[in-house]
Amino acid sequence: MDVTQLSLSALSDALSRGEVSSREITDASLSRIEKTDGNVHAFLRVTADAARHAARASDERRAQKRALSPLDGVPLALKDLLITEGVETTAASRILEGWIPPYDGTAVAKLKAAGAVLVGKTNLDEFAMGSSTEHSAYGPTKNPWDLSRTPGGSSGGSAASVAARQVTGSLGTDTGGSIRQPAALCGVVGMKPTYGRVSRYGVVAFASSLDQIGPFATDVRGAALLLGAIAGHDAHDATSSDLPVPDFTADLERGLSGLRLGVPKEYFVAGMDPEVERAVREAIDACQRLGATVREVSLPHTGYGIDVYYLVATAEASSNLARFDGVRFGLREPAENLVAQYRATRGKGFGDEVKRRIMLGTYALSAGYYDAYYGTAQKVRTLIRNDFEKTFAEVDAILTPTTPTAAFKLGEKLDDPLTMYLSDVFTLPCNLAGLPGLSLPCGFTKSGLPIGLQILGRPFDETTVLRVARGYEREFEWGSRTPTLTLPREGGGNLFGGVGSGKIGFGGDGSGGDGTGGVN
Amino acid sequence: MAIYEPVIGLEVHCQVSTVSKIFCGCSTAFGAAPNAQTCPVCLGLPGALPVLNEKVVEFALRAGLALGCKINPRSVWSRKNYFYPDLPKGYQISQYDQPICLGGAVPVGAKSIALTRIHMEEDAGKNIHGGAASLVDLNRAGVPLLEIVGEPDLRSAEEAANYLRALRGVLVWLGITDGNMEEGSLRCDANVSLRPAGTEKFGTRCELKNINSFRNVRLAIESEIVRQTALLEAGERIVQQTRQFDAATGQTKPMRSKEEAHDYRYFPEPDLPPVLIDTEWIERVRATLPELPGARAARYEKEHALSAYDASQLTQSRRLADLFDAAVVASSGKSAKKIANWLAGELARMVNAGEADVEALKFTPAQLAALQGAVDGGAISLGAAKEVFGEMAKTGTAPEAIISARGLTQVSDRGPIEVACDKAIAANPAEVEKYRGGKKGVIGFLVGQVMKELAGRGNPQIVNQVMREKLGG
Amino acid sequence: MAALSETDVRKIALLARLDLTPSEEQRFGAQLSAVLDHVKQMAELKLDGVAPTTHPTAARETSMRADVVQPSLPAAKAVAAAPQKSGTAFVVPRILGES
Repeated sequence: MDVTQLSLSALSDALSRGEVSSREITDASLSRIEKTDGNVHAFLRVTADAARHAARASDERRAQKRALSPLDGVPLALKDLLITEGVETTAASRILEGWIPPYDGTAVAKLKAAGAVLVGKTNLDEFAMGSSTEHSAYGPTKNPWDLSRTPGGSSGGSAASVAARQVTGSLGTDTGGSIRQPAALCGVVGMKPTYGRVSRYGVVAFASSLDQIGPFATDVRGAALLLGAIAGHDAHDATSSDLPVPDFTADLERGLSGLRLGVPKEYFVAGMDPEVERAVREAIDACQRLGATVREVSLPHTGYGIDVYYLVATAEASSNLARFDGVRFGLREPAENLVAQYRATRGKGFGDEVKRRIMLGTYALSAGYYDAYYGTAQKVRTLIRNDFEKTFAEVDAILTPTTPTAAFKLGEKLDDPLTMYLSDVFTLPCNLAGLPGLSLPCGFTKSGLPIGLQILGRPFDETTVLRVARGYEREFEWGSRTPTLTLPREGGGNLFGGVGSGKIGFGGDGSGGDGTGGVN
Repeated sequence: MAIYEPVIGLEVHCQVSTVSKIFCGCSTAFGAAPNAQTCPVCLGLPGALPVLNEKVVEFALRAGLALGCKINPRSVWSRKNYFYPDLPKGYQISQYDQPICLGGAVPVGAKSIALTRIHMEEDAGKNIHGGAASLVDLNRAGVPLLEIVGEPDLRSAEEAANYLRALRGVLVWLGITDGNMEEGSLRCDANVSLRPAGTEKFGTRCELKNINSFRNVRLAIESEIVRQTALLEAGERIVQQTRQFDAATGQTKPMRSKEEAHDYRYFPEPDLPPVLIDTEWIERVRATLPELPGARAARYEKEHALSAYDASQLTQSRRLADLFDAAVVASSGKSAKKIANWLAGELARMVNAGEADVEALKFTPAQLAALQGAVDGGAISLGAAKEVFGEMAKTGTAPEAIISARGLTQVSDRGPIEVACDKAIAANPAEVEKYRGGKKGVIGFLVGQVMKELAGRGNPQIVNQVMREKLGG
Repeated sequence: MAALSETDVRKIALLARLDLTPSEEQRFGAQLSAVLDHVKQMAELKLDGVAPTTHPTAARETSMRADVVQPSLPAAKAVAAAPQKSGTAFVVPRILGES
C-alpha cells in the first residue's frame, strides 16, 4: 500500500484497523516532504524529530486501544501563522524570524490532544496578506500541479502540502479566502468554518473580525474530522461561540436529495475564465441530478465586497500589527531614538504587501477619513450580511465558483495589487458575513489545473455545507487525483499522472476535466 | 483689569480592586519583580486575545449606579492606537463613543459636580527612565481602570481637591478601589482654563497630566492659574497644550511636543463583543450597593441624635461606619451616642497619633459594645475603659480579659470601701476636723486617699457616698 | 482619482511607524490611490439608517471571565525573546525627549 496515495479519512480508518502504523505513515510523509519540497516549497520548517516521537507515542496508544481520536497518529501540517510552543513561528515575516513562542494556540493544543502528528510549519503570504504565497519573506510556494504557477494564498503552503500528498491534512487560516482560494487552485478540499466556530487564540492576527482557522484535506470527510478536532468554545477567545459542536461526519452520506441550493447570478461575471465557469455550472447541474433543488438567487451587494474587505481588513491589520515594534520579541533595527527605531524596525521587517496594507488601514482610520472609509465599509458590510440572510431564508446552501480563474503564473499579479485583490472577489463576502464556506475540486482546465466549487452555508451550519460537498464528491472524486510534480516543460505544458484509487472523475458530457487526467 | 474665573474639569483614573487583570488572569498585586506578572495577553504577544474580567463591569456598574449615571445597555470597546514602549499591543483597549456610564454627579459638600461619563479601560505598563536607555515593566499593563470624567464645573484649586477627595471617598466606600495614590491606584488629569468673570465662553485650556496626590492637585492647578492669569494680563494668548506638574519647582511645564499631532484612530475592538447590560444585572448590582456616606451621616443625626461632626467623622470610612452600626446593634441600640464617642473621639485621637489604622482595627463591634456595657453597668470606670479600649484596638483581646488581666474591675462593694474610708479618716484627723468644721470641699482629698488605697478601682459614686456617711453628713 | 499626495503618504508612514524609501513612497502612493479610487463606488449606496457591522458574533455569558488569578509566565520566559533586556525588564532607547 502506498500510504501517500490514501486520503485523510482512509488513513484514519487504516490506522484504527491497525493496517498501518503512525510511524510508517509519518516516515512516508517525512520522506515525501524531503523528496518533493525542494520543488514545491510548501514548508518553512519540518519538525521531523518531534513528529517521529509523536508517532511512536500514538502507536503505543493505538496498541493499547487508547486512541485519543480518529486523528490519533495522522501526520498534519500547520500554517506558520499558528503559534506553536517551542517551535519557531514566523508568519513568513522577517520581523518574526527566530521567534520561539512560549505558548501553543488553542487549535494546535487541540490537535496535540487529539494525538495528531505535527510534521511542520507551512509557507504563507507574510502575515496572511496575499493570494499567491509569493509575499512570503522566505520565497514562494509553487503549485504542485504546475510549478510555474502559484498555489494561491495566503495558506498556499498548507494547500500545496496536501495537493503534493506530503500530508493528507493541514490547517490554514482564512480572512478573505485564504483557505478556499488555495484549495481551489491546488485541487484539495478546504474549509473556512463560521466565524467563532474555531478559537482564534494563537493565530497571529491579520483581521480580527474576519480571521478563522480551518482545515485542508484530501477529502471532505477528512476535512470534517479535522474541523471536529479544532472546533468549540475557548475561554481564551471572547468571540468563540459556545454553541455545541456537532459530529461533522454524521450527515456526510445523506446525499443531496431534498436540499435547496442557490446559485447567485452575481458570481458569474465578465472576466471569468470560461473553463472555470463551465466546470462549476456542470457541478451545479450534477447536484441537481443528484436530487437537490437548484435555483438562481441574488446577492446584490457582492460587487462591493472587495471594497469593504480591503478597508476593514487593512484597518484591523494596521492595529494588529502595531505590536511588532522590536521591544519584546522579533526583529529590532537599532536607531538613535525610539521613533527612529520603530520606523527602521518595521520598515525593514515588513515586506511590501504588509506595508501597503498597514498604510491603507492607517489611512482608512485616520482623523477626517474614518467615516468616508472605515465607517462606510462597516455599513456596507451590513448590507452584504443582509443579502445572505435573506437568501438563506430560501435556500440551504449557496454554490459558486471559488475563484474566477485557475492558478495564475508566479509573478503575474505581483506588481498590481488591485488585480491581485480582485482574484478574491468570490471568497471575500463569506468572511464579511461570518459564514462557513468550503471549496472542493470540481474539475480541471484543459491544461490540467484544478477548478474549485465553493459551497456557502448558514452561520454554524457547517454540517449542511459538508453534506453538499460530500454528496458531490462521492460521485466525482476529483480530489483523488494527484500531481506528478514534474517541472514545467518549455512552452508551458506539464505532465499529469498518478490517478489515485477510487472512481475517476468524469466531466459530465464528456467535456471538461476528464481528458486532462494523466493524458495532456 | 479683568478678573478671571478658573474653569476646571478633572479626569480621574482609578484602579479597580480586582485580583486579576482586566483581560487576562495575571495578578494585579503591587510590587512584583519586573514582568513577573505577565502572560501572552498582557505582553501583547502575537496571537493572544483579551477576555473581559466580569468583575470590572460590575465595579463600573457600582460606581455608575452610586453616582446616578445612566447605564448604557450596550457599551463598546474601542482601540486607541499609538506607539509607546509601555503599550505592548500598540493600542490601548478602552471605551470611546459608547462608554458604560453617562452623566451622574459627585456630591461635594453642598454642591454637586456633574460627571460626563465613566468608562473602563486597561492601564499601560511602566517605563523606568534611565540614562541612555529606558526599562519597560509590563506588570501594570492590563490592570483595570475606571476613567471618571467630570464636567468643567470646578472653579478653584481648592474645590478641585475637595472634589477629588469626595470622589475618592465614594469609590473607596463602594469597595471599587483602595484609593492608594502612592501606588498609583488613583491619578488624575486636570483641564484648566480661565475666562473673564461673568462671561460664559470657555477660554483655551491646558491639560495637566498625571497628578498623583491631593496636595499636588491643589498646587498644580494653583500654579497653572497663576501662569495663565499672568499671560492673559500681559495680553498674551494661552496655547492649548499638555503640561506636567513638577513638584520640585511647584510649576507646570509643557510636556515635550510630539513630532506629530495625535491621531488615535479609535475603532471598535473586534476581539471583544460589546458589553450588554440588562435590567436584571443592573438590579442585582443595585441590591448590593451600600448606603452612601452622605445618606448614612444624615441617618445617624436623625436616628441616633449624633452631632453633625460625629456623624461625618463616623462616615469617613465605610469600615468605621459599619463598625459603628454593628456595635450599636450589639448594644441593643441603647448606647449609640456613647459608642459614637469612642469611635469619633478616642479612636480618632489614636488614628491621628498614629496608634491605630481604621482599615486594620483588631476589635469587633461586639467587643466595643461589651466595653461600653461594662462602663454602663459600673464594672469599670471610664478611665479604666480608655485603657481597655487602647489595648483592644491594638490587640483585639476581649475587654473582659483585659479588665481581669489588669485588675481593672471597679470596687463597688461597701465592705472594702468602708475599710478604706475608715483608714483614710484615721490617717487624716486634721482634714476630718476641717470638714466637720464646714469646709466640705476637703472631702475630695479624703476620697482621693480612698481611691489611692483602692488602686483607682473604687466606684467613685459609692466611695463618695460612704465617705459622706462616715463623716456624718 | 482619489490620489494620495506625497505629503499624505509621508504622514501615514509616520503614523504607522514605517520607514519608506522614496521609491516605496511613490509606488505605494500610486497603488493605494488605485484602491481608494475603487472603493469610491460605495458612495453610490444609500446607507441612511444602516447600522455598522463591528462584530460578526453577539456577546454571550461566555464572552467574559471570572476574576480569578491564573499563573503568569515566569519573568525570564516573558522576556526570553526580547532583543534587549536588563534583568527581567525590556530595554528600549531613551524615551524622554521622544514624546
